[in-house]
This record gives sequence, C-alpha cells and structure tokens, in this order.
Amino acid sequence: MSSEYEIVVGLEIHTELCTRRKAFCGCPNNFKVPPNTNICPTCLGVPGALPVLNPEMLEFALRVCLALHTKINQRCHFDRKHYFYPDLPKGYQISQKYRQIGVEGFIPIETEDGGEKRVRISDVHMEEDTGTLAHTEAYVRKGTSTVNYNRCGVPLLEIVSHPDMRSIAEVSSYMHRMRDLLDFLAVSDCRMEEGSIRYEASVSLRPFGQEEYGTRVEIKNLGSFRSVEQALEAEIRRQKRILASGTPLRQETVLFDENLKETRPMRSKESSSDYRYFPEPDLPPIVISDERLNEVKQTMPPLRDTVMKLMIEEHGLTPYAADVLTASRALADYSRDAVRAGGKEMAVPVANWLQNTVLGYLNETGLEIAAFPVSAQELADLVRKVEEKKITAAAAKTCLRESLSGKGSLRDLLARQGEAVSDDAQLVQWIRDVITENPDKVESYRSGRTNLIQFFVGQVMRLSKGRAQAQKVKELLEEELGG
Amino acid sequence: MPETRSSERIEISLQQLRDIAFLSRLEVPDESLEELRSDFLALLNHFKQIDELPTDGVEPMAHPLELSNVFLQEGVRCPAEPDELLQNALEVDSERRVIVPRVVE
Ligand SMILES: [Zn+2]
Repeated sequence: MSSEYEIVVGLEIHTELCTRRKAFCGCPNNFKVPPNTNICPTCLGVPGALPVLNPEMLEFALRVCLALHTKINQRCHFDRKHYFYPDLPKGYQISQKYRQIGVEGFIPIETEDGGEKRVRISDVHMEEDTGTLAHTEAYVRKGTSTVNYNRCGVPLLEIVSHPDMRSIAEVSSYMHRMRDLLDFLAVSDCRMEEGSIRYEASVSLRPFGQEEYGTRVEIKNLGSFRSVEQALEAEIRRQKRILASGTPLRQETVLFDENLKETRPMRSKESSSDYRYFPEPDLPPIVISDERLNEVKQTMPPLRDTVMKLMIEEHGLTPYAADVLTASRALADYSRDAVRAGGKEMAVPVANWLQNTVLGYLNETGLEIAAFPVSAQELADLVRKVEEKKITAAAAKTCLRESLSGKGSLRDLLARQGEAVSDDAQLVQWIRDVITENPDKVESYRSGRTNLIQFFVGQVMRLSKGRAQAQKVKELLEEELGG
Repeated sequence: MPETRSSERIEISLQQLRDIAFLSRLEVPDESLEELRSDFLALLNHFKQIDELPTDGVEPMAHPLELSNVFLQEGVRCPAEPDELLQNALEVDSERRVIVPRVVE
C-alpha cells in the first residue's frame, strides 16, 4: 500500500537573521524585551517614514547564497507584498519577488541508504518579519487580540527548495544540513523554540515511475523538525486515503494540528495572485560589485564540514569526535579553542574531556556551551596536568565539578588539591593503615569476598584526598592483601 | 489582472472590481460600481499604450531614481520614543500590548 506512491516534498525555510538591528530601521533586533519597546516610525509603518537597508542583512544573505552555490543577482531589488493583518502595520511586507538575491543553488543531503544527493534551491530572498499576535483566552472572549511589534521588521531570509525530496528521512536530513549551514555561517541563532526558523512544506504523491507531479498541498506554519516530520506523515496519510477512494485531490493549503496529529484545510480568502506585488519604491535597487562579493566570500565563517575536516586532519580527532564536537558552531568554537590551547599532543585527550565531562555536564544541567564557566584555556591546562600525571583524573574531575558548582575558580581548587601522589612508599603506608583499621573486612576479603577491594581502594583514596591513582592503589592493595 | 493582447482594450467585470475593492479594503456601494469601472478602465487603458512600444531587451525598471545601495548608517536611531508612538494605538493593555479586533475564530 505505502509503496504504491512516491512522496515528493519541497520545503520553504524562513529564518530570522541575527543582525544587530532590524532590516530597514535602527531598532535593535531583539524582541525579548517588554512588548512594544523596540519600535520606531519605520517598523510601525507610520506614514512618511522611510525604510533604509541594513547592510548586515545583505551580507548575511550573501553568505547563505554563496554557501548554497546559488547564482547571485548582483542587481536585485525589493518588492511589496500586500495583505491586511494586524501584525503587519504597513499593510505590506517588504520582500523580494521579481529579482531575488539568489537563484538556483543546491545543498547536499544524506539519502536513506547513506549516500548523498543534491536538493536544488530555487531561490533565496530577503524579507521582513511581522509582529506577534497573541490570542489569550481573556482577550478572545472580549472579541480582541493583542499585538506586539518588537519582531516587526526583523530581517528574514527565505530559502525555497525545488520539490526534490523523496522521503521524510530526506526532508529531515535537509533540515539538519540547513540548520548547520545557518548556524556555522553565524547568520541565525537557530533557536527553533523561539521561532527563529520556521518551515512550510509542499507535498504531493505520484505513482512510482510517473514523470509528472501529483496535486500539491502546502502545509503552513511549522516550527520544528518534529512538527515538519509529523505534519508530513499526517498529510501523506490523508492524501493516500483520498487517492485510494478514487477522489481527486484538491490543491490547497493546510494547517497541522499538533495535538490531533492531523492536517486540515485552511480557510483562505486571498490567493498568491492577490498579493499585488510591485517593486518597493522606497528602497533603491541593490548593486553588488564583484569586489564586495569577494570580500564576503573571503570573510565567511567556515561551514561544519570544513571545521570537522580540520579537527580530523590537523588535530587527529576521530570522525566520531569531530562530529560530536561540531554539533553547533558555539561548541565547535569552544572545542577548537581548547584543542588549540592544549597543543598537538593534547588534542585527543582534550577532545575526550570535551565529549565526556563537558558535554556530560551540559546535558545534565541543560546549559549551552556559551554558559560553560570554564574557559577553553583552563580546560586544556587541566587536561595537560592529568596527562602529565601531576594530578589524577579523579581529582581533576572533582575540581572541575566543584568549580562548576560555584565552589571557586578551577585554578584555586587545583592549587588546594595538591599534586598527585605516585610515591609507592606513601601509598603503601596508607594501605597498611587501612588494613590495620579494618581487620574484619580483611578477613572477609581473604576468605573470598574479593569485591571488597573496592571498599579498600575507596578508603585509601579518601586518605590520599584523591591524589592517588586508583589503578595503582588497587594493584598495591592486591599485593598487600594477598600476602 | 485580465490578460490582453496589445491591440485589445482592457475589459473588467463588476466581480473583478468587487474583488479588487475587497483586497484594498474599500467598501464600494453597488450603485457606484459602474462609475468606478469606467474610471478604472480609463486609467488602465491609458497605461496600456506602453504595450505598443518595442520593449524587447529593455531591463524592467525597479526604481525611478538613479540610486542604488543606500544603507543604514551605524548609530542612527529614530528620535521618536516608543511610548510616544504607542499613543497612536486606539488601546494598549497594562503590558504595553496593542489591542486589536479579534483575528482568530
Ligand atoms: Zn524600527
């Protein structure tokens, strides 16, 4: 049943660009402030106020176009898209319809059999975000909604793919690759939960082997990888059901209900031809010189692939470690700094510490690497001390943990900890003390309860205040207890 | 907009006129539609004359001025205070949100 039809999916991605200011005015691009604080006559659409393009937005858009290998329209302009809605005070959205900044590019994605394929990008264009509407129950009952215009005029980039994806797994890979690209280019903070990336999917089915596409349905307003995947599953189910009943599909727009896990048609009075696009007269065209384009290319941050390759080839990390440590640009930056600070011979141990201790801590606490209080240099120093056997790994971990829980700086805690004890005479002295203090346990051990060794190791470690190497203690203990 | 060949005059139905008025949120009483249609057609057919010009290979003009690359300067901020701007709203709640007619069902 499910193998009768081939799935055909295209995706539109809207991402907020993390410029310092809004797209066309000087307001800060930060809407996590009290409602209606970052507003001005321009982003509120007060008559007579004129928009002026933020050059940072253009640079970010160019980075994305270059990374997606699009043709760049070195002469492009903005157009107005008209519709009336309270979150759009001007009555139109500034967008790019007739001459987008980037057209016809591609991004490689992973296919289900582990291979790669290219998804073609039809265009990349700049536009502005709307305000945020709230429909709190109390207000709705009174027949009202509320609007906050802080987000109004925030720069958005829309990336439109061709319908080149053939499974939900491919869509998923596309979304992940695109997220990595936007993150590593430092153009988006990629916070899905805050709506900084939104999706629209178009999906159709066709019998395998058929050349022409089936009737296409658009799913609007998807805010996470999960909701895209679930909405596609639901919509594909719905289309199969309709096709099985012999009814033709209608070309329409649907919304995904996250609770019911189903798609339902959206009532829409306006179709795209009703947007009455025309060139934005308030913004002169953009001309991008070859020099400028080159400059952007030269100063572009490296993409994830490049960073991974560097970690593997220059620092000798395993592909697995490089993959884990480049999960985000912030983590990759921290990892690179720590690996560099440690020097060539420390790269692998530093990477291990990053993967186990640092990521473990971040997972436990739910913090992000940006909030990790120990600097890359301090971490590298710590690992070096362990590798040079100046302190034990256990003591290093304890110090790190204590420092992370606010018990002092890592440096001070390490100084207090003192150096590792590798002097056998001192270790044997502690072992003999422990044996003398626990005659009954020694008896039990000698009569076969050998797992008591852990108890003795613990006691010796306690006496050493963590400065002994547990493995060494265990070896010496076995000698002493065996005799 | 109805497609026509260059020699034909543009025609427009009353329904198209109503649709256009709706998109512009204009309330046009039925008795004014005929008059509006003739005004509208006079304008459209005036501009239609452009179709008679040979425009092959002419780059469409996106902007009437010979300007390009006007960028926002660093440090420029609008002098108007947000509170001042909010006074243009009909109603604002205690958390500074603008109250508008309900837009969901
Ligand atoms: Zn503004």
